[in-house]
Amino acid sequence: MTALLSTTGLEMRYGAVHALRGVDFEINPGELVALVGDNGAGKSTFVKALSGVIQPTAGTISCDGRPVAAHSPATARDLGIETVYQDLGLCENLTVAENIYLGREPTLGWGPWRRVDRRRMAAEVAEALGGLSVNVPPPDAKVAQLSGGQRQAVAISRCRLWRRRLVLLDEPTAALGVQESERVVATIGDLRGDGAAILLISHDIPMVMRLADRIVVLRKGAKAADLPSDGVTEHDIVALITGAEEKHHA
Amino acid sequence: MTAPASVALTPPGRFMTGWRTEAGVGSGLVLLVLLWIAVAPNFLTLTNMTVLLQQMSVLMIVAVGQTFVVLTGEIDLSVGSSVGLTTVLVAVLTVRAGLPLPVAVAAVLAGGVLIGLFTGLLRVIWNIPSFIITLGLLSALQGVAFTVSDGVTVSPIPDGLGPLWDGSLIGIPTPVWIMICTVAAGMWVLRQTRYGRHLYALGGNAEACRRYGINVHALRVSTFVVVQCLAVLGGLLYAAQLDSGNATIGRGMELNVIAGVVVGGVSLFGGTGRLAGTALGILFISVLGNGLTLIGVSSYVFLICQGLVVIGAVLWSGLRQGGTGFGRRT
Repeated sequence: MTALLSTTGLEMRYGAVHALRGVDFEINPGELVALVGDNGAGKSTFVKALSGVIQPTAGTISCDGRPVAAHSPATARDLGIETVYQDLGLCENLTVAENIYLGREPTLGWGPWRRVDRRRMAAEVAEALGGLSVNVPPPDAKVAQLSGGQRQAVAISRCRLWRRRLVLLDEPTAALGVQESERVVATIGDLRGDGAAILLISHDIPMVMRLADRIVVLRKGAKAADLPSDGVTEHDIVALITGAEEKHHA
Repeated sequence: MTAPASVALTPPGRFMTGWRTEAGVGSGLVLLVLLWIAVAPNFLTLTNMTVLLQQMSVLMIVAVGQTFVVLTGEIDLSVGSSVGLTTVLVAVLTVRAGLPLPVAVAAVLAGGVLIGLFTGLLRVIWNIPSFIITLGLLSALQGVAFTVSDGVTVSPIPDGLGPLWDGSLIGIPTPVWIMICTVAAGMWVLRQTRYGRHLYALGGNAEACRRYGINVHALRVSTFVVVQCLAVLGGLLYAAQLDSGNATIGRGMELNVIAGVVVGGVSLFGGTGRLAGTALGILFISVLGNGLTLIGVSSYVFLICQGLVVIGAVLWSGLRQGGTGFGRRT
Protein backbone atom coordinates (compact mmCIF):
# COMPACT_ATOMS: atom_id res chain seq x y z
CA MET A 1 0.00 0.00 0.00
CA THR A 2 1.26 3.47 -0.87
CA ALA A 3 1.68 5.61 2.20
CA LEU A 4 -0.61 8.64 2.46
CA LEU A 5 2.30 10.72 3.70
CA SER A 6 5.93 9.78 4.20
CA THR A 7 9.22 11.43 5.00
CA THR A 8 12.70 10.27 4.08
CA GLY A 9 15.80 11.50 5.88
CA LEU A 10 14.04 14.60 7.21
CA GLU A 11 16.54 17.02 8.75
CA MET A 12 15.99 20.34 10.46
CA ARG A 13 18.66 22.62 11.85
CA TYR A 14 18.14 25.88 13.73
CA GLY A 15 21.68 27.25 13.68
CA ALA A 16 23.68 24.95 15.93
CA VAL A 17 20.58 23.06 17.09
CA HIS A 18 19.93 19.82 15.20
CA ALA A 19 16.17 19.48 15.77
CA LEU A 20 15.47 16.60 13.36
CA ARG A 21 18.04 13.98 12.40
CA GLY A 22 17.15 11.98 9.29
CA VAL A 23 13.59 11.01 10.28
CA ASP A 24 11.98 8.32 8.10
CA PHE A 25 8.26 8.11 8.71
CA GLU A 26 5.07 7.02 7.02
CA ILE A 27 1.36 7.03 7.74
CA ASN A 28 -1.24 5.11 5.77
CA PRO A 29 -4.83 6.09 4.95
CA GLY A 30 -7.15 5.70 7.95
CA GLU A 31 -4.29 4.93 10.33
CA LEU A 32 -3.85 6.54 13.75
CA VAL A 33 -0.17 6.93 14.52
CA ALA A 34 1.03 8.39 17.79
CA LEU A 35 4.21 10.43 17.93
CA VAL A 36 5.75 10.47 21.38
CA GLY A 37 8.95 11.82 22.85
CA ASP A 38 10.36 13.91 25.63
CA ASN A 39 10.38 17.69 25.59
CA GLY A 40 12.82 18.83 22.92
CA ALA A 41 12.69 15.48 21.10
CA GLY A 42 11.62 17.22 17.88
CA LYS A 43 7.88 16.40 17.84
CA SER A 44 6.67 19.96 17.27
CA THR A 45 9.37 20.60 14.68
CA PHE A 46 8.32 17.45 12.85
CA VAL A 47 4.67 18.55 12.87
CA LYS A 48 5.60 22.02 11.62
CA ALA A 49 7.60 20.45 8.79
CA LEU A 50 4.69 18.20 7.80
CA SER A 51 2.22 21.08 7.91
CA GLY A 52 4.49 23.27 5.78
CA VAL A 53 5.05 25.94 8.43
CA ILE A 54 8.84 25.37 8.31
CA GLN A 55 11.00 24.12 5.47
CA PRO A 56 13.21 21.16 6.40
CA THR A 57 16.92 21.67 5.74
CA ALA A 58 17.19 18.23 4.11
CA GLY A 59 15.08 15.19 3.28
CA THR A 60 11.90 14.55 1.35
CA ILE A 61 8.21 14.73 2.14
CA SER A 62 6.04 12.59 -0.14
CA CYS A 63 2.28 12.40 -0.47
CA ASP A 64 0.72 9.36 -2.15
CA GLY A 65 4.23 8.30 -3.12
CA ARG A 66 5.03 11.56 -4.93
CA PRO A 67 7.60 14.00 -3.50
CA VAL A 68 6.09 17.34 -2.51
CA ALA A 69 8.08 20.33 -3.73
CA ALA A 70 7.98 23.64 -1.83
CA HIS A 71 5.82 22.38 1.00
CA SER A 72 3.82 25.25 2.54
CA PRO A 73 0.63 25.58 4.64
CA ALA A 74 -1.27 26.14 1.39
CA THR A 75 0.12 23.02 -0.32
CA ALA A 76 -0.48 21.02 2.85
CA ARG A 77 -4.10 22.14 2.78
CA ASP A 78 -4.38 21.29 -0.91
CA LEU A 79 -3.05 17.81 -0.13
CA GLY A 80 -5.75 17.36 2.51
CA ILE A 81 -3.50 17.83 5.54
CA GLU A 82 -4.85 19.87 8.46
CA THR A 83 -3.08 20.65 11.71
CA VAL A 84 -4.66 21.28 15.09
CA TYR A 85 -1.94 23.04 17.06
CA GLN A 86 -1.52 22.89 20.79
CA ASP A 87 -2.71 26.51 21.04
CA LEU A 88 -5.62 25.55 18.75
CA GLY A 89 -5.13 28.55 16.46
CA LEU A 90 -8.59 29.96 17.14
CA CYS A 91 -9.64 33.60 17.06
CA GLU A 92 -11.47 34.16 20.34
CA ASN A 93 -13.23 37.24 19.00
CA LEU A 94 -14.87 35.32 16.15
CA THR A 95 -17.74 32.87 16.17
CA VAL A 96 -17.43 29.10 15.95
CA ALA A 97 -18.51 29.15 12.29
CA GLU A 98 -16.12 31.96 11.39
CA ASN A 99 -13.24 30.07 12.98
CA ILE A 100 -14.03 26.85 11.20
CA TYR A 101 -14.22 28.68 7.87
CA LEU A 102 -11.29 31.03 8.53
CA GLY A 103 -9.59 31.71 5.20
CA ARG A 104 -12.16 29.66 3.28
CA GLU A 105 -15.37 31.61 3.76
CA PRO A 106 -18.00 30.89 1.11
CA THR A 107 -19.29 33.97 -0.67
CA LEU A 108 -22.45 35.10 -2.44
CA GLY A 109 -22.81 37.69 -5.18
CA TRP A 110 -20.47 39.05 -7.78
CA GLY A 111 -17.40 41.27 -8.01
CA PRO A 112 -17.18 43.98 -5.34
CA TRP A 113 -20.64 43.02 -4.07
CA ARG A 114 -19.48 39.56 -3.07
CA ARG A 115 -20.32 38.90 0.57
CA VAL A 116 -19.75 36.14 3.06
CA ASP A 117 -22.49 33.49 2.94
CA ARG A 118 -23.21 33.31 6.67
CA ARG A 119 -26.32 31.20 6.27
CA ARG A 120 -24.42 28.48 4.45
CA MET A 121 -21.59 28.64 6.98
CA ALA A 122 -23.97 28.30 9.92
CA ALA A 123 -25.89 25.45 8.30
CA GLU A 124 -22.81 23.45 7.32
CA VAL A 125 -21.11 23.99 10.66
CA ALA A 126 -24.26 23.01 12.55
CA GLU A 127 -24.40 19.83 10.50
CA ALA A 128 -20.72 19.03 11.06
CA LEU A 129 -20.89 19.79 14.77
CA GLY A 130 -24.17 17.96 15.12
CA GLY A 131 -22.47 14.76 13.99
CA LEU A 132 -19.98 14.88 16.84
CA SER A 133 -20.22 12.71 19.93
CA VAL A 134 -19.99 15.66 22.28
CA ASN A 135 -22.24 18.60 23.04
CA VAL A 136 -20.96 21.56 21.13
CA PRO A 137 -21.81 25.25 21.09
CA PRO A 138 -23.96 26.91 18.41
CA PRO A 139 -22.17 28.11 15.25
CA ASP A 140 -22.76 31.75 16.18
CA ALA A 141 -21.26 31.49 19.68
CA LYS A 142 -18.06 33.43 20.25
CA VAL A 143 -15.07 31.15 20.89
CA ALA A 144 -14.15 33.32 23.92
CA GLN A 145 -17.26 31.92 25.64
CA LEU A 146 -16.26 28.26 25.21
CA SER A 147 -14.54 25.83 27.56
CA GLY A 148 -11.20 24.21 26.70
CA GLY A 149 -12.86 21.00 25.55
CA GLN A 150 -15.36 22.86 23.40
CA ARG A 151 -12.55 24.79 21.79
CA GLN A 152 -10.77 21.55 20.98
CA ALA A 153 -14.01 20.26 19.47
CA VAL A 154 -14.22 23.37 17.30
CA ALA A 155 -10.59 23.03 16.18
CA ILE A 156 -11.06 19.38 15.32
CA SER A 157 -14.39 20.06 13.61
CA ARG A 158 -12.54 22.31 11.22
CA CYS A 159 -10.73 19.21 9.94
CA ARG A 160 -13.95 17.26 9.89
CA LEU A 161 -15.90 19.78 7.86
CA TRP A 162 -13.18 19.99 5.24
CA ARG A 163 -12.92 16.19 4.96
CA ARG A 164 -9.20 16.14 5.62
CA ARG A 165 -7.24 13.02 4.66
CA LEU A 166 -4.63 13.53 7.36
CA VAL A 167 -5.03 15.41 10.63
CA LEU A 168 -2.03 16.34 12.76
CA LEU A 169 -3.13 16.72 16.38
CA ASP A 170 -0.52 18.42 18.55
CA GLU A 171 -1.12 17.66 22.23
CA PRO A 172 -4.92 17.81 21.98
CA THR A 173 -5.52 17.01 25.64
CA ALA A 174 -2.79 19.14 27.17
CA ALA A 175 -4.16 21.43 29.91
CA LEU A 176 -7.56 19.69 29.88
CA GLY A 177 -9.30 17.95 32.76
CA VAL A 178 -10.21 14.25 32.68
CA GLN A 179 -13.78 14.85 31.53
CA GLU A 180 -12.79 17.30 28.81
CA SER A 181 -10.01 14.96 27.64
CA GLU A 182 -12.58 12.21 27.23
CA ARG A 183 -14.66 14.53 25.07
CA VAL A 184 -11.64 15.17 22.89
CA VAL A 185 -11.01 11.43 22.63
CA ALA A 186 -14.62 11.01 21.48
CA THR A 187 -14.09 13.74 18.88
CA ILE A 188 -10.94 12.01 17.63
CA GLY A 189 -13.07 8.88 17.29
CA ASP A 190 -15.55 10.83 15.14
CA LEU A 191 -12.71 12.06 12.97
CA ARG A 192 -11.43 8.54 12.54
CA GLY A 193 -14.91 7.38 11.70
CA ASP A 194 -14.78 9.73 8.72
CA GLY A 195 -11.78 7.79 7.44
CA ALA A 196 -9.12 10.41 8.17
CA ALA A 197 -5.60 9.33 9.06
CA ILE A 198 -4.43 10.90 12.32
CA LEU A 199 -0.97 11.73 13.63
CA LEU A 200 -1.43 12.21 17.36
CA ILE A 201 1.32 13.97 19.28
CA SER A 202 0.89 13.45 23.00
CA HIS A 203 2.60 13.00 26.34
CA ASP A 204 -0.42 11.05 27.58
CA ILE A 205 0.94 7.53 27.17
CA PRO A 206 -2.22 5.69 28.41
CA MET A 207 -4.32 7.61 25.86
CA VAL A 208 -1.79 6.90 23.14
CA MET A 209 -1.83 3.19 23.98
CA ARG A 210 -5.63 3.21 23.87
CA LEU A 211 -6.05 5.04 20.56
CA ALA A 212 -3.04 4.46 18.35
CA ASP A 213 -2.46 1.70 15.81
CA ARG A 214 1.25 2.46 15.78
CA ILE A 215 3.60 4.40 18.01
CA VAL A 216 6.62 6.30 16.73
CA VAL A 217 9.14 7.45 19.33
CA LEU A 218 11.39 10.44 18.73
CA ARG A 219 14.46 11.01 20.85
CA LYS A 220 16.92 13.88 20.39
CA GLY A 221 15.51 14.55 16.93
CA ALA A 222 15.93 11.00 15.64
CA LYS A 223 13.44 8.17 15.31
CA ALA A 224 14.08 5.81 18.23
CA ALA A 225 11.31 3.30 17.52
CA ASP A 226 8.32 2.58 15.30
CA LEU A 227 6.19 -0.22 16.68
CA PRO A 228 2.56 -1.39 16.76
CA SER A 229 0.70 -0.43 19.93
CA ASP A 230 -0.33 -4.05 20.49
CA GLY A 231 2.13 -5.99 22.57
CA VAL A 232 3.99 -3.04 24.08
CA THR A 233 3.60 -1.74 27.58
CA GLU A 234 3.61 1.79 28.94
CA HIS A 235 6.92 0.91 30.57
CA ASP A 236 8.42 -0.01 27.18
CA ILE A 237 7.31 3.29 25.69
CA VAL A 238 8.64 5.34 28.59
CA ALA A 239 11.92 3.47 28.37
CA LEU A 240 12.18 4.26 24.66
CA ILE A 241 11.34 7.92 25.26
CA THR A 242 13.95 8.34 27.98
CA GLY A 243 16.53 6.06 26.43
CA ALA A 244 16.57 3.85 29.52
CA GLU A 245 16.61 0.66 27.40
CA GLU A 246 19.75 1.79 25.59
CA LYS A 247 21.46 2.78 28.81
CA HIS A 248 20.47 -0.54 30.38
CA HIS A 249 21.91 -2.52 27.45
CA ALA A 250 25.03 -0.37 27.40
CA MET B 1 -21.56 5.47 26.04
CA THR B 2 -21.13 8.97 24.79
CA ALA B 3 -24.10 11.26 24.95
CA PRO B 4 -25.86 11.93 21.68
CA ALA B 5 -24.72 14.96 19.79
CA SER B 6 -26.49 18.23 20.03
CA VAL B 7 -25.90 21.78 18.88
CA ALA B 8 -27.15 24.22 21.48
CA LEU B 9 -29.43 27.04 20.43
CA THR B 10 -28.35 30.63 20.75
CA PRO B 11 -29.83 31.95 23.98
CA PRO B 12 -32.26 34.80 23.41
CA GLY B 13 -30.86 38.15 24.47
CA ARG B 14 -27.34 37.51 23.27
CA PHE B 15 -27.99 39.88 20.39
CA MET B 16 -28.49 42.76 22.80
CA THR B 17 -25.50 41.65 24.88
CA GLY B 18 -23.34 41.97 21.78
CA TRP B 19 -24.45 45.58 21.32
CA ARG B 20 -23.92 46.56 24.96
CA THR B 21 -21.06 48.96 24.19
CA GLU B 22 -22.94 50.79 21.46
CA ALA B 23 -26.01 50.95 23.71
CA GLY B 24 -23.86 52.50 26.42
CA VAL B 25 -22.40 55.15 24.11
CA GLY B 26 -25.85 55.79 22.64
CA SER B 27 -27.30 56.30 26.13
CA GLY B 28 -24.48 58.67 27.02
CA LEU B 29 -25.13 60.58 23.81
CA VAL B 30 -28.83 60.90 24.57
CA LEU B 31 -28.03 62.25 28.06
CA LEU B 32 -25.53 64.70 26.58
CA VAL B 33 -28.06 65.90 24.01
CA LEU B 34 -30.70 66.35 26.74
CA LEU B 35 -28.19 68.32 28.81
CA TRP B 36 -27.34 70.66 25.91
CA ILE B 37 -31.04 71.11 25.08
CA ALA B 38 -31.56 72.18 28.69
CA VAL B 39 -28.60 74.55 28.99
CA ALA B 40 -27.97 75.72 25.40
CA PRO B 41 -31.16 77.08 23.80
CA ASN B 42 -29.67 77.26 20.31
CA PHE B 43 -28.41 73.67 20.38
CA LEU B 44 -31.47 72.08 18.81
CA THR B 45 -31.78 74.46 15.86
CA LEU B 46 -31.62 73.44 12.21
CA THR B 47 -28.62 75.68 11.61
CA ASN B 48 -26.66 74.23 14.51
CA MET B 49 -27.54 70.66 13.57
CA THR B 50 -26.42 71.29 9.98
CA VAL B 51 -23.14 72.87 11.11
CA LEU B 52 -22.58 70.06 13.61
CA LEU B 53 -23.06 67.36 10.98
CA GLN B 54 -20.95 69.21 8.42
CA GLN B 55 -18.08 69.78 10.85
CA MET B 56 -18.31 66.19 12.03
CA SER B 57 -18.16 64.72 8.53
CA VAL B 58 -14.38 64.91 8.08
CA LEU B 59 -13.78 63.45 11.52
CA MET B 60 -16.21 60.62 10.81
CA ILE B 61 -14.74 59.82 7.38
CA VAL B 62 -11.21 59.55 8.78
CA ALA B 63 -12.52 57.58 11.78
CA VAL B 64 -13.90 54.93 9.40
CA GLY B 65 -10.36 54.32 8.16
CA GLN B 66 -8.92 54.49 11.65
CA THR B 67 -11.41 51.80 12.73
CA PHE B 68 -10.03 49.49 10.03
CA VAL B 69 -6.51 50.09 11.37
CA VAL B 70 -7.38 49.78 15.06
CA LEU B 71 -9.33 46.55 14.47
CA THR B 72 -6.07 44.91 13.41
CA GLY B 73 -4.40 46.09 16.62
CA GLU B 74 -2.51 48.95 14.93
CA ILE B 75 -2.89 52.74 15.04
CA ASP B 76 -2.29 55.66 12.67
CA LEU B 77 -1.35 58.90 14.41
CA SER B 78 -0.48 60.70 11.18
CA VAL B 79 -4.02 61.21 9.84
CA GLY B 80 -4.28 64.82 11.03
CA SER B 81 -1.04 65.74 9.29
CA SER B 82 -2.20 63.93 6.13
CA VAL B 83 -5.36 66.03 6.13
CA GLY B 84 -3.31 69.22 6.40
CA LEU B 85 -0.83 68.10 3.75
CA THR B 86 -3.71 67.27 1.40
CA THR B 87 -5.12 70.79 1.65
CA VAL B 88 -1.66 72.25 0.99
CA LEU B 89 -0.86 69.96 -1.93
CA VAL B 90 -4.19 70.42 -3.70
CA ALA B 91 -3.85 74.19 -3.28
CA VAL B 92 -0.21 74.35 -4.40
CA LEU B 93 -0.79 72.07 -7.39
CA THR B 94 -3.79 74.06 -8.63
CA VAL B 95 -2.85 77.62 -7.61
CA ARG B 96 0.93 77.69 -8.00
CA ALA B 97 1.57 74.88 -10.48
CA GLY B 98 -1.61 75.59 -12.46
CA LEU B 99 -2.56 71.94 -12.79
CA PRO B 100 -6.20 71.07 -13.57
CA LEU B 101 -8.18 70.21 -10.43
CA PRO B 102 -8.80 66.54 -11.38
CA VAL B 103 -5.05 66.02 -11.89
CA ALA B 104 -4.28 67.64 -8.54
CA VAL B 105 -6.92 65.50 -6.81
CA ALA B 106 -5.52 62.34 -8.44
CA ALA B 107 -2.01 63.35 -7.36
CA VAL B 108 -2.94 63.88 -3.69
CA LEU B 109 -4.86 60.61 -3.70
CA ALA B 110 -1.77 58.86 -5.08
CA GLY B 111 0.22 60.58 -2.35
CA GLY B 112 -2.16 59.17 0.26
CA VAL B 113 -1.74 55.68 -1.16
CA LEU B 114 2.06 56.06 -1.04
CA ILE B 115 2.01 57.24 2.59
CA GLY B 116 -0.20 54.27 3.50
CA LEU B 117 2.12 51.87 1.66
CA PHE B 118 5.16 53.42 3.34
CA THR B 119 3.65 53.00 6.81
CA GLY B 120 2.35 49.51 6.13
CA LEU B 121 5.57 48.24 4.59
CA LEU B 122 7.69 49.59 7.44
CA ARG B 123 5.32 47.84 9.82
CA VAL B 124 5.36 44.44 8.13
CA ILE B 125 8.91 44.29 6.76
CA TRP B 126 10.86 45.71 9.70
CA ASN B 127 8.22 45.04 12.30
CA ILE B 128 8.38 48.63 13.57
CA PRO B 129 5.35 49.41 15.77
CA SER B 130 2.83 51.50 13.83
CA PHE B 131 2.62 53.84 16.82
CA ILE B 132 6.26 54.84 16.27
CA ILE B 133 6.09 55.04 12.47
CA THR B 134 2.99 57.21 12.42
CA LEU B 135 4.21 59.37 15.30
CA GLY B 136 7.24 60.12 13.12
CA LEU B 137 5.01 60.73 10.12
CA LEU B 138 2.79 63.06 12.14
CA SER B 139 5.76 65.40 12.44
CA ALA B 140 7.33 64.69 9.05
CA LEU B 141 4.13 65.23 7.01
CA GLN B 142 3.45 68.47 8.84
CA GLY B 143 7.00 69.54 8.04
CA VAL B 144 6.44 68.70 4.37
CA ALA B 145 3.20 70.71 4.39
CA PHE B 146 4.94 73.76 5.92
CA THR B 147 7.85 73.45 3.49
CA VAL B 148 5.66 73.10 0.38
CA SER B 149 3.39 75.98 1.40
CA ASP B 150 6.25 78.16 2.73
CA GLY B 151 4.23 78.33 5.93
CA VAL B 152 1.51 80.49 4.41
CA THR B 153 -2.08 79.91 3.32
CA VAL B 154 -2.34 79.04 -0.37
CA SER B 155 -5.57 80.19 -2.06
CA PRO B 156 -7.91 80.48 -3.84
CA ILE B 157 -8.51 76.94 -5.06
CA PRO B 158 -10.40 76.69 -8.39
CA ASP B 159 -14.19 76.71 -8.11
CA GLY B 160 -14.62 73.03 -8.94
CA LEU B 161 -13.79 71.96 -5.37
CA GLY B 162 -16.28 74.29 -3.64
CA PRO B 163 -19.46 72.23 -4.17
CA LEU B 164 -17.81 69.38 -2.29
CA TRP B 165 -18.51 71.42 0.85
CA ASP B 166 -21.17 73.94 -0.14
CA GLY B 167 -23.35 71.67 -2.26
CA SER B 168 -26.42 69.87 -1.03
CA LEU B 169 -28.87 67.19 -2.08
CA ILE B 170 -32.48 67.25 -0.84
CA GLY B 171 -31.41 69.80 1.72
CA ILE B 172 -28.60 67.72 3.18
CA PRO B 173 -25.06 69.11 2.68
CA THR B 174 -22.72 67.15 0.39
CA PRO B 175 -20.14 66.39 3.14
CA VAL B 176 -22.90 64.78 5.18
CA TRP B 177 -23.83 62.59 2.20
CA ILE B 178 -20.18 61.65 1.72
CA MET B 179 -19.97 60.82 5.43
CA ILE B 180 -23.11 58.67 5.30
CA CYS B 181 -21.88 56.81 2.22
CA THR B 182 -18.42 56.25 3.73
CA VAL B 183 -19.82 54.90 6.99
CA ALA B 184 -22.33 52.68 5.16
CA ALA B 185 -19.62 51.33 2.84
CA GLY B 186 -17.29 50.74 5.78
CA MET B 187 -20.00 48.88 7.69
CA TRP B 188 -20.75 46.72 4.67
CA VAL B 189 -17.09 45.88 4.13
CA LEU B 190 -16.43 45.03 7.77
CA ARG B 191 -19.59 43.05 8.29
CA GLN B 192 -20.19 41.35 4.96
CA THR B 193 -16.93 40.81 3.12
CA ARG B 194 -14.15 38.28 3.59
CA TYR B 195 -11.72 41.21 3.78
CA GLY B 196 -13.63 42.73 6.68
CA ARG B 197 -13.94 39.46 8.56
CA HIS B 198 -10.22 38.84 8.06
CA LEU B 199 -9.45 42.22 9.66
CA TYR B 200 -11.30 41.06 12.78
CA ALA B 201 -9.50 37.71 12.64
CA LEU B 202 -6.14 39.47 12.29
CA GLY B 203 -6.88 41.57 15.36
CA GLY B 204 -7.91 38.44 17.25
CA ASN B 205 -5.08 36.06 16.36
CA ALA B 206 -2.57 37.01 13.66
CA GLU B 207 -0.73 33.69 13.94
CA ALA B 208 -3.93 31.71 13.30
CA CYS B 209 -4.59 33.84 10.22
CA ARG B 210 -1.11 33.11 8.92
CA ARG B 211 -1.56 29.38 9.48
CA TYR B 212 -4.82 29.37 7.58
CA GLY B 213 -3.37 31.00 4.52
CA ILE B 214 -4.54 34.60 5.05
CA ASN B 215 -2.05 37.14 3.72
CA VAL B 216 -1.50 38.95 7.01
CA HIS B 217 1.05 41.42 5.61
CA ALA B 218 -1.18 42.50 2.72
CA LEU B 219 -4.10 42.96 5.12
CA ARG B 220 -2.07 45.16 7.47
CA VAL B 221 -0.71 47.31 4.66
CA SER B 222 -4.18 47.69 3.12
CA THR B 223 -5.64 49.22 6.29
CA PHE B 224 -2.97 51.95 6.32
CA VAL B 225 -3.72 52.68 2.66
CA VAL B 226 -7.47 52.87 3.41
CA VAL B 227 -7.04 55.30 6.32
CA GLN B 228 -4.68 57.53 4.33
CA CYS B 229 -7.05 57.62 1.34
CA LEU B 230 -9.88 58.63 3.65
CA ALA B 231 -7.63 61.26 5.25
CA VAL B 232 -7.05 62.63 1.73
CA LEU B 233 -10.82 62.73 1.20
CA GLY B 234 -11.15 64.60 4.50
CA GLY B 235 -8.42 67.01 3.43
CA LEU B 236 -10.20 67.68 0.14
CA LEU B 237 -13.39 68.50 2.07
CA TYR B 238 -11.52 70.97 4.29
CA ALA B 239 -9.82 72.50 1.24
CA ALA B 240 -13.27 72.90 -0.32
CA GLN B 241 -14.63 74.49 2.85
CA LEU B 242 -11.76 76.96 3.33
CA ASP B 243 -11.03 77.43 -0.38
CA SER B 244 -7.37 77.21 0.56
CA GLY B 245 -4.59 75.00 1.80
CA ASN B 246 -2.80 75.49 5.10
CA ALA B 247 -0.33 73.28 6.95
CA THR B 248 -2.04 73.86 10.29
CA ILE B 249 -5.33 72.32 9.14
CA GLY B 250 -5.99 68.97 10.77
CA ARG B 251 -3.56 69.60 13.62
CA GLY B 252 -4.53 67.47 16.62
CA MET B 253 -7.30 65.82 14.62
CA GLU B 254 -5.81 62.36 15.23
CA LEU B 255 -6.75 62.66 18.91
CA ASN B 256 -10.38 63.44 18.04
CA VAL B 257 -10.49 60.51 15.63
CA ILE B 258 -8.93 58.05 18.07
CA ALA B 259 -11.18 59.38 20.83
CA GLY B 260 -14.27 58.67 18.73
CA VAL B 261 -13.06 55.20 17.78
CA VAL B 262 -12.20 54.25 21.36
CA VAL B 263 -15.31 55.82 22.90
CA GLY B 264 -17.32 53.84 20.32
CA GLY B 265 -16.01 50.58 21.77
CA VAL B 266 -13.34 49.62 19.25
CA SER B 267 -10.62 47.94 21.28
CA LEU B 268 -7.13 49.42 20.91
CA PHE B 269 -5.89 45.86 21.31
CA GLY B 270 -7.64 44.85 18.08
CA GLY B 271 -10.32 42.38 17.10
CA THR B 272 -13.41 43.93 18.67
CA GLY B 273 -15.67 46.86 17.90
CA ARG B 274 -17.98 48.04 15.16
CA LEU B 275 -18.30 51.03 12.89
CA ALA B 276 -21.70 51.74 14.40
CA GLY B 277 -19.86 52.29 17.68
CA THR B 278 -17.27 54.51 16.00
CA ALA B 279 -20.09 56.59 14.46
CA LEU B 280 -21.68 57.00 17.89
CA GLY B 281 -18.30 57.80 19.44
CA ILE B 282 -17.54 60.53 16.89
CA LEU B 283 -21.06 61.89 17.34
CA PHE B 284 -20.50 61.94 21.12
CA ILE B 285 -17.18 63.80 20.83
CA SER B 286 -18.64 66.26 18.30
CA VAL B 287 -21.79 66.94 20.34
CA LEU B 288 -19.62 67.43 23.43
CA GLY B 289 -17.49 70.04 21.65
CA ASN B 290 -20.48 71.71 20.01
CA GLY B 291 -22.39 72.06 23.28
CA LEU B 292 -19.40 73.39 25.19
CA THR B 293 -18.86 75.99 22.47
CA LEU B 294 -22.53 77.00 22.56
CA ILE B 295 -22.51 77.60 26.30
CA GLY B 296 -19.34 79.64 25.95
CA VAL B 297 -16.90 77.28 27.62
CA SER B 298 -13.28 77.75 26.60
CA SER B 299 -11.88 75.38 23.96
CA TYR B 300 -9.21 74.49 26.52
CA VAL B 301 -11.90 72.96 28.70
CA PHE B 302 -13.02 70.90 25.71
CA LEU B 303 -9.48 69.53 25.43
CA ILE B 304 -9.58 68.54 29.11
CA CYS B 305 -13.00 66.87 28.69
CA GLN B 306 -11.89 65.10 25.53
CA GLY B 307 -8.75 63.77 27.19
CA LEU B 308 -10.70 62.48 30.19
CA VAL B 309 -13.27 60.83 27.92
CA VAL B 310 -10.49 59.02 26.02
CA ILE B 311 -8.80 57.83 29.23
CA GLY B 312 -12.17 56.68 30.56
CA ALA B 313 -12.97 54.83 27.32
CA VAL B 314 -9.59 53.06 27.22
CA LEU B 315 -9.93 52.12 30.88
CA TRP B 316 -13.40 50.72 30.19
CA SER B 317 -12.09 48.84 27.15
CA GLY B 318 -9.36 47.25 29.27
CA LEU B 319 -11.75 46.35 32.07
CA ARG B 320 -14.11 44.67 29.59
CA GLN B 321 -11.21 42.41 28.64
CA GLY B 322 -10.73 41.46 32.26
CA GLY B 323 -7.89 43.91 32.67
CA THR B 324 -5.62 41.66 30.66
CA GLY B 325 -5.22 44.12 27.87
CA PHE B 326 -3.03 46.44 29.92
CA GLY B 327 -0.36 43.83 30.52
CA ARG B 328 1.39 43.25 33.82
CA ARG B 329 1.78 46.08 36.26
CA THR B 330 5.43 46.93 36.83
